[in-house]
Amino acid sequence: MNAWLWAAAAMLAALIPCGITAFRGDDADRLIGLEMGALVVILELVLLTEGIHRPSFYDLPLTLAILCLGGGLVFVRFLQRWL
Amino acid sequence: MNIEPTHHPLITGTLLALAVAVTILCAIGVCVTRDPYQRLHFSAPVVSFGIAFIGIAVWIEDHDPQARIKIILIALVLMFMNSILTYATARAVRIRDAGHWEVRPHEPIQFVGKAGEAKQRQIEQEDQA
Repeated sequence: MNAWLWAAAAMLAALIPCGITAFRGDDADRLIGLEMGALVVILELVLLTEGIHRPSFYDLPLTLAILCLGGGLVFVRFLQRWL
Repeated sequence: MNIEPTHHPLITGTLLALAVAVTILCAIGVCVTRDPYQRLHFSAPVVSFGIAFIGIAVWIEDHDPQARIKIILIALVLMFMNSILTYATARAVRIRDAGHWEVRPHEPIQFVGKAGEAKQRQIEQEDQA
C-alpha cells in the first residue's frame, strides 16, 4: 500500500453520501447525486492508476469523464422533458 | 524508456489528503443540503481543487510524460464537463419546476445585488402604476 492507494481507499467514503442522495429525494436530487458520484469515481480511478504505477490506465478515467458528459446530458434532457 | 519515479512522500501525502478531504466534504454537502440548486454548487470544488491537488501530486511524483499529459487532459475534461453539466442540470430543474426558463414578471424570485434591487424597485413601481 502506498499513499495513492490509501487515498483511493479513503476516497471511497465520498461515495456513501452520493449514494444516499441518489437513492432518495426527487428526480433532480437523484440526478445530482449521480453526477457527483461520477466525479468521485473518476478521481478514484486516477488515484488507483497512479497507485499501481500503470500510466496507460489513465485512459479509463479520461474515457469515463468524456462519457459522463454525454450520459449526464441525456439524463438532463429526460429530466427536463419527460420525467 | 524507464523513468524512475521520485519520492516526496510528505508533499504528495499532503496534497492527496487535501484532495480526499475536499471530495468527502463536498459529497457530504451534496447529501445534507435541501435544494437542488444548492446541491449543484458542491461539484465545483471537486473539479477545481480536488483534481488540481491530485494533478500536482502526479506531476511531483511521476516523471512519465504519459501520466503528466493525461492528468492534465482529465482535469481539462472535468472542468469543461462540470461547467456544462451543472448549467444544463440547473436549467432542466428550473424548467421542470416553473415550466419555463426565463424570469417572468411577478415571479417570486428574490433579486440580489444592486442591479437586482433596482430591478425589484422597477417592478414594484410598475405594479403601483
